[in-house]
Formats: sequence, C-alpha cells, structure tokens
Amino acid sequence: MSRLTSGGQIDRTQPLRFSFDGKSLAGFKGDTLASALLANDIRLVGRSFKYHRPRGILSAGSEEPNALMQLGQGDQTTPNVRATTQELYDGLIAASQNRFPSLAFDLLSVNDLMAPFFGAGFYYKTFMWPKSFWEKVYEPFIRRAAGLGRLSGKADRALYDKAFAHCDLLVIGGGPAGLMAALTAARGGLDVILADEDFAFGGRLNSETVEIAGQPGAGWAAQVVTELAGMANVRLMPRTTVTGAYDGGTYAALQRVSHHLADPADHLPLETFWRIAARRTILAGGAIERPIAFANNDRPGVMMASAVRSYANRFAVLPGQKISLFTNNDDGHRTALDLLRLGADIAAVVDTRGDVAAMGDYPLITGGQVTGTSGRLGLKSITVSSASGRLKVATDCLAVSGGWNPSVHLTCHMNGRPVWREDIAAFVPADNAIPGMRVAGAANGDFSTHAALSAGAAAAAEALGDLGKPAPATVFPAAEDAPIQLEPFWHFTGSKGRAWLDLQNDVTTKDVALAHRENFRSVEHMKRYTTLGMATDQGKTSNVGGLAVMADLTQRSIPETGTTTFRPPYSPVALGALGAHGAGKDFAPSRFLPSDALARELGAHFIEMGVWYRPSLFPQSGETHWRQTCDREMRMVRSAVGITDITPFGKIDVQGADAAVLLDLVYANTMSSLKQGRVRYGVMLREDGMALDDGTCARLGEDHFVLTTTAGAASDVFAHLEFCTQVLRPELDVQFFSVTDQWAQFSIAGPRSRELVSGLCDEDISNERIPYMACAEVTIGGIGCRLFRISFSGEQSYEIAIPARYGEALARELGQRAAALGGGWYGLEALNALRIEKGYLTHAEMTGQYTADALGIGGMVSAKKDCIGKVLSQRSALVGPGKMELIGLKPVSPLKQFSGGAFLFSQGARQVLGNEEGHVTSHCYSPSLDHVIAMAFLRDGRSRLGEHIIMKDNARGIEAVCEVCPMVHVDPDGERLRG
Amino acid sequence: MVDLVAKSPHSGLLPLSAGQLTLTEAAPAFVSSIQARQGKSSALAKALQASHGLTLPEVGKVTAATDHRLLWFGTDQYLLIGAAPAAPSLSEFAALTDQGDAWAVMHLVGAGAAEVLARHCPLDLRTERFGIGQTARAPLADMPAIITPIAQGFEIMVLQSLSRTAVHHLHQAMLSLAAQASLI
Repeated sequence: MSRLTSGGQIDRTQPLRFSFDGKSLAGFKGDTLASALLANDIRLVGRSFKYHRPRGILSAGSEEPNALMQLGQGDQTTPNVRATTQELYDGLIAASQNRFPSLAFDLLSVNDLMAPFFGAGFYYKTFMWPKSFWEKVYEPFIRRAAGLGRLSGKADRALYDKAFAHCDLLVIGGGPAGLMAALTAARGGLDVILADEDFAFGGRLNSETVEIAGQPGAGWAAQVVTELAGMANVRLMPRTTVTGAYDGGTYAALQRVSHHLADPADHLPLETFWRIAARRTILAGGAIERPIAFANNDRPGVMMASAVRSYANRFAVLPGQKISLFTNNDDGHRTALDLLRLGADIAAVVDTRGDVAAMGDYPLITGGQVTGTSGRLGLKSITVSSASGRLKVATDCLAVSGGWNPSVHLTCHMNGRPVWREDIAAFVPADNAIPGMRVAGAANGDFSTHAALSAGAAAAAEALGDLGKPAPATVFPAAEDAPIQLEPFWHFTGSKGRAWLDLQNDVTTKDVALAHRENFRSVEHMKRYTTLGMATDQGKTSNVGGLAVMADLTQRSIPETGTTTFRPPYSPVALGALGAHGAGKDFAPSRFLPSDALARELGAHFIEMGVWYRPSLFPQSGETHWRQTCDREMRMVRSAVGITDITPFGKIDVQGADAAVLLDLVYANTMSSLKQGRVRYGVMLREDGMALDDGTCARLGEDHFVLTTTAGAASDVFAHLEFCTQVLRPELDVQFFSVTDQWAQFSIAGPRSRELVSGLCDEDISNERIPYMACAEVTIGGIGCRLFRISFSGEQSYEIAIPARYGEALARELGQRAAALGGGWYGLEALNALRIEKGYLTHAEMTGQYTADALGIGGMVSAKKDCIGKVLSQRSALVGPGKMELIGLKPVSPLKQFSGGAFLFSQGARQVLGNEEGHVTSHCYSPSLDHVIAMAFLRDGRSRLGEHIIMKDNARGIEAVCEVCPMVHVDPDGERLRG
Repeated sequence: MVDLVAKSPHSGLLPLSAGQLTLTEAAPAFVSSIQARQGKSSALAKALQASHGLTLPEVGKVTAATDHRLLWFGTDQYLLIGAAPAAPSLSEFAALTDQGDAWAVMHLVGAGAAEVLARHCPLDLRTERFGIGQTARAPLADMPAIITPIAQGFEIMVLQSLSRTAVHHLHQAMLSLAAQASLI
C-alpha cells in the first residue's frame, strides 16, 4: 500500500469499499477515486483514445486527460467520469474504458504499432475513397475502435435540476485568492457566491505545505470557510464548476449534487445546472501545471509534480516507491522537499536549468533533460541526458513540472485573447476580457500565496468600490511570497520516440510537425488537423505545449503564434443537466381544457395542439378504427347535435372609444359597421399582405368587442394588436386584454342544437331573437354567459362562453342533454373533417404564405378602407396570372385517401420539381359524400374547375387523378346555418 | 333550472407540502383587469382612491388595503384582486374585464420558498431586491406568471389552464429542495 499512515485530509475513521474493473478495493472518505486507486497501487487506469496506449493518472484535478472512468452498472452508467474529481463513496463501481478484452491486455493496442500510418490527417487522407464506404464501413469501424466511455443506449433515469441565482459578487475558485476575495467582499456587505469545482474549498492550499498566518494553509482555508458559512450574505457552492461566461454578467455553472453519495435520497438531483447573474465577478480559478514533452512521456507513473504533492499532502498517498522529478522551475524542488518530509525515496531531481542548487538532501542533475522512459504498463526507468552524459535512473514515478498556465479559459468566452507574459512564460487574461470580471491570484499569474491573497483582497475591494461600498479593514495574513524562478522548456526534440502533447486525443510533437510540413501552420488549422486540444479536456494540459512546438517550427514567438479559442463549457456538462426540467412531458407546458376530466372519463383520445391537450376522438365500444369514430361523430353533428370544447380559441376583449377604428385597421374587412349584438367573421393580414389569422368579432356594446382567434395564433394576434396600438396608432383610445382563460367555451352544433341550448338558457333564444351571426348575454343556471350563433361545421350552431370555474359542470350538463337528443361529444378529427366539407380555413391553409385572395376570401378585403397588409397584398406576383388559389379536389376514380402536402401536376406534365402547380393542404373522408375530399392550392385554381389533375406524393407512393371542384361540399347555400 | 357547481383550478391538486414548504391554493373572491382609458390615468387614480382606497401602483409595485390589492400589470394596466371593481365609477376612466376565472393563484410558503421558485423563474428573488410591495410578471417554467412576494413566500399566479403544469413543476422543485436540505 502506498497510503501513508498519518497525515492528509482524509478521514481514516470512515473507510470505504469500492471496485475498479471488478476488483474490490478500499479507500477513505475524503479520497477521490484517483487518490484511492493510487493508494491501492493501481497506476494503469485506462487506454488512450487512438493508439490504446496504457495510461495512468496525470493530474489531481479537472484537467485530467487520462483517468476517465465508466461509473455505475447496468443501464445507468456514466461514462468519462474523471477519477481525479470523483469523490469516493462506499460501493462506488468504476471500470476502465476503451480497452478489450482487458486493461492490461488490449487487442487494439495494435494501433500503436501501426502508429506511423495513423498520424495527424490519416483519416482525412485515407477514408476519402470510395465515397460510399464512409457511412457504412469506415465510420462505424472507427467509432467502435476509437473513443472513450460508452452510453447504455437506455434513457437516463437520473434527475437533473436547473436553477437561477443572483448575487453582487461571484467568486470563481476557492483557493487563497478566491477565499480572500469572498471574505473581504462578504465582510464589506456584498451578497457573495463562492463556487469551487472541488468538494473542499482551499484550492492548492489543501495540497501544499505553505503556511498562512502561522498555520497550515488548509487550516486557514477551513477557518475562512467556517466564517463564510456563518454569514447570511454568502452562498457557498462546493462541487460547482463555473463552465461559461456570457453576456450581462451571466455565468453558467454545474453543481454536482449527488455524484458523491452511495445511496442518494429520492428526489435528489444528480446535478444542477445554474445560471448565475452577478453584478461583479472575480475569477480566481488558479493555474494548471504544464507537462514537458519528451519521448514516451505518457507512461503510467509519469505525473504532474503538483499532482504528486496533492496525492502526498492532501490524500496521504505516495504515488511511487522511488520518485523522480523533472522540472524547469523551483516547484520541482519543493515537491522533492515535501516528499522527503513524508519519508519518500527520491531517485533524482532533473532540472533543465544549469545554475541551481539542491534545496535538500536529494540527488540533483542540473542542466539535465529526461529523454526517454521505459516500462510497458507502468514506468520503470527514465533516461536522463546532461552535460555528464546519459544516465538511466530506476524510478516508478516521474513528477514533471514545466511551469504553470493560468486558467484563462473563462476570460476567453466572450472573445478575449490572453496576453503573453514573458517573466512567467505563460498567457494571462487580457484586461476587461469579460465585463464586470476581475482576475486574481494564479489565474492572473500571481503564483505566490502572498500574491494570491493580496490580489484577492484587492479585487474584492475594487468590486466593493464599484458597488458603492467601502472595503472593510482586513487584517492581512502573512504568507510565503516566493518569486517565480523558471526557465521556459517545452519539449525535448533530440530523441526518436514519440513525445506526447495531448494525452486525451493522442497528439504528439511529430503530429504538430506534420501539420507544419503540410502547411497547416495557423494555430487554428494546426488544432483541427492534429485534433490537439479538441478532446473533452479542451487541451488544458496540452494547448500551450502545442503552441510552443509550432512556434519553434515556424521560428516565431509563442505570442506571435497565437492561441486557439476557448469556448464554454470549461469542463464537460451532461446534456441531462442542460435539459433539466425539459425531459418527456416537461418539454413544454401542458394546457388542459375545462372539460378535460370529463373527456378522460369518456375515454377520449387526446392530441397535442400547440400546448393544449384536446380530445381528437370519443370512441364508443365496438369502434376499432379512428375513422369509425370520426365518421359517427360527423354524422351525429350533421343529423342531431354534437358538443366540443373550443376553449383554446384565443379570446381578446377590446374596449375603448376607438375600438372600432383599431379593428378596421387590423381586419381586412370592416368591423365598425357591425351592429351591437352581432358577430362577423374576419381576417387579419400581416404587413406583408399575407393572412395572419381568421376568427370572429362580436360587438357586445358600442365600444366593446370580443375577438376570437385560432388557438395556435392567439399570442401572435395579441402581439400584433400590441404592435398596432403601441407603435402604429398610439393615440387611439383602445384597451384590450386576453380573456382566453377566463371563459370556458363550447360549441353546440347540429340541427338539434337550438333544442339543446334553449333548454339550458333562462332566456328566449329563438331564431328570431338569436339569428345566425348574433350574440347575446344569457344566463345558465343563474350564471352569466355569452351566447354566439356562429358555426365552424356548417350546421345550426351555438357557442356558449361561461366563466371557467363552471366549465366542467356545464360540459357535463351539455353531454347529458346532447345524449338525450341523440347527440354527444365530438373530437378534433370530426371537427376538422366537418370544416373541410364546408371549405372553412385553418392554419393548414393560413400558413403565412398566402393572401386573402389566394385563400378564396379576397372579397373580404374592403375596397372602402385601408387595412394593414392591403397594399402589399396587391404586389404583382400575388395578383397576376399563375397565382395560387385555394380550391377543392375530389377523386375521379375511387381513392382511399388524399395526401397532405402532395404535389399537383397537370396531366401529361413531367412530374419533376419545378413543374408542380400546387399542393394539398387538408383532406378527409366525407361521410356525407361517401368519398374523400381535399383542399389544395393550385395555380389559377378557381378558373380550372372541372379540370382533371394529377396528385402525386412520392414519399407515400400515392398518385391519383382528381377533379378540381368548389371547396364547399355540404350545404353550399348555408341554409342549415340559418335554420 | 340547471345547477352548475364551480370547480377551482387547483381542485384536486393542492395543498401540497414537502419539508418546510407548503403550496396552497389561494382563491381570491375577485380578480379584474383595469386599463386606463387614453389620457385618463389620473382620473382613474382618483376614482380608485375614492372607491377602493387604493393608489395606482408604480411599475412592479402593489398597493394594498385590508382585503384587496392593486397589482401593476403593464403600462396603464392593473389587476384589482380581492374586491369587485366599483364598475360605474371606474368604467368611465378604465376598461374592466373579469379575470376571476382566468388565474390560478397559489401561495408557496416556508423556508426556502425562493430556492424553489428559482428552479423555474429567473427573477432576482432576494428579499432586498424583491420584497413585500413588489410584483413582477415573469416566466415560470416557460409559462407566463405573476409573482408577488408575501409573508414567508410568494403568491404565484398562472393561467388556469396551466395550473396542473405549474403545480407539477413547483412540487417537483419542493421535493428536490427538501431532499437537498438534508445533504451535508
């Protein structure tokens, strides 16, 4: 065991069991999966993406490229979980990825032998031909061979959550800079959110042996967190990664709520996706240590020096028995000192710099370079070159420190370009890259603890100043302030072996050289050609290294070479989290009818119309096909009486002295001439002359109207009225308000409808008092209702609007009374077929592409007045020969069904695109006629009545000869309506 | 004569509770829209003061008397809740519509009410930003809603046809927050 017997921030009183590739292992609370694996001497944790090279744990944070695991079992597994951030819990089941049959013996590691052929651009060059092979052969094969974890293919049953938060100051990162910033700002009275991706605040303080104010850094961090936790104006968000910076001070963040729990409670989400609106932000996300590229630098056992310190100091795990170091800065030496203190055996410290001295009792090779490694499934030795020659050093862990790259990612999310700082040989964020954001600490290149603390406090003081609050007097804790001593060293070029840059996408220095040779020299081209930095880690440990290699090749500086673009998310976000609250039925709100409960009792079939759930059919026993139900319901309406719930129609109450003026403007026809107590059918046009919507307009009083709109266009029409009154005619005295939800509304249609309605209403509703297109206030059971004599079926018909709370009760009453008259409920299928028999329009025809003339209601556009859309509806293309006109169609010989969207061709014309002369919009079977009928747009259709034409639907394989006919098939003179 | 029985939009859906939170139906006796006629805002203000003892609320505000309130709803638009509008005196200066059946009104009350609401509503719900006396029209899980702070929580109004969806989302959030409250 590599676990130290004491020390670290693990809880040895809480041992945990877990398994890796079926092997049962032990760890402690406070471990990550990675630290627990290392404590169990497991170094080989995965196979690489392309070459299936054996790989081990590289880092101790979210930048990890190698240690990706499949977590869980069965159909609820999660792939690509970074072992370095996954908290250990009792019963955790982890499996390595991308290997077959086993991690130690992987057949596809043959790819590695073929590596000379698989370099950058291999796929682009190789799988070009034959073209047809790509989809069927190459892609499936490559997908199987390459890749990371696997999805189960089953629906994810985990719960995800989404939430909004608001604060004065968002602090991203809970290391020394972030803690100091949060503390200063919170003491100064700001509402502070402190987010950190780790489950423990403290950042590097938890992994280093630095002291703050005379106590261990981790202790100081814990003390600050305790103070912050006690403040009402602070929200601590551990396990929360801020993944993106967006406009207006909005940030995206992913909180891992229950990934760390063995047995999460019911209703507990796995993750919460946050949108945080912050007036000011301090980015204190730290820095990521960078590797040095040398031959075979990807063996399990080669790690970052900072990670070795994390495992040793925080998790009390020595990642090797005999540890060596390769460094170009003082951090390598600090690592050696920490390890010595813990009793580790240091094989060698290799420093690229020539003029350094050992800081302690360890073998030091100055001016040296690691040029190679050995060990098939784990590091066994390294080869070191120096002025004194080549030397092979036996070691099972090599800690590498190539300096630090500030985590500039979030500052680039709004197109900020980082700035090169020569003294630390690293990119730092540009000033004001994100409005309202300041950057403090290592994220800004302030690497010493003292510098981080003071930068955090200063950034918070500035934020306080911005928001008009004085900075509190803060006793500033003392801490180390070691200067950076670094000699840039990126990669060793002298040896033959492959030197790896991007471990997750298997990109080597040679791939970058190949890109250069083939003239993909812009960094953006190089990135795409080699795929460097394009893996799930977005090249956190490889980007700058790749730039350095390209800079060398092009003999430019790194800043001249430039950087690629960092985009959100900073680390991967599950689609489940982004889609939280939107799975299944939650995708959109559901609106239910007042009669919904009754319809369900009656066994209705429902259909979603927009967000409304409306009954499509009310099947009766013995009906096995929807057409049987639909035909019966239609016959019922035509012969007796049918009821349907039409509450979803938009209802807009319009009042005011100028109400009629507005209506004359928005309706193509005239409404000002409408008498009180009367209803008129109307059509509205858009500015561009196309029909917007149709509906009815009832005049309840001199200055009081109620409009109906189609269900789907209710909000469009309302918005149109808002535009007209706010922008076009703001001087009009008009007030309108939606009353859609106030009224339940039912249609009672059929020759026996009056019989039914008159029995309900307390008033006389005779044909004399309430003729066709009349409206009146009536009472039903003492409740004030509105009665409209309008029809969408062609039958004698009434619509009753009743306050919604009585909707269900009235629905039940109507149903019973209709049954007594041989009638009953009818659904949308019958409603639609009834209106097609009458040639009435819906949005199948009013798609927004047709004028009133095309729809056959051009006569409604009043010649006596102007209206919105009138001028543009007269454009030459819309009025000249060849314009589309809505007509009816009937089959010439028996036809089973028309086809919505099918093209119409003239007989004898070649049936190719460009020759089509129109298309079918609506169709149904007409029980009245005993054959199918349709509505269709046809060029010059109204002058082609009687012509035979071909309907052709290539998708459904339907072709038929039809006759162009009038749209109205039933009661063309409207006698039933008026009867 | 027919005897029609009224059914409230939350019938069979509420009350619900989870952890320290409760979601209950609040069915105000009256809700009416009041829209000032062109140029009649100040006359309407006087009439409202005389008939209901209420001043016109500013944008995003509520004015209240003992048993009725006036919510700002839009430019020159208000909702009178809890009292029938004094129609003759108000009608001269305003268009009125009955909204008493249009809205489903709920009270979400208890510690963490803002956290529940924040699952579905992007408003800044911090008390100092959005407290008693304020109101807002805001989206609630893709539905138009009216959110008004009340003691220990919020009054939430959605269109009655959307009550089932609103209750579903709020209840799920209550259960989720109750479960998260027990996390260490």
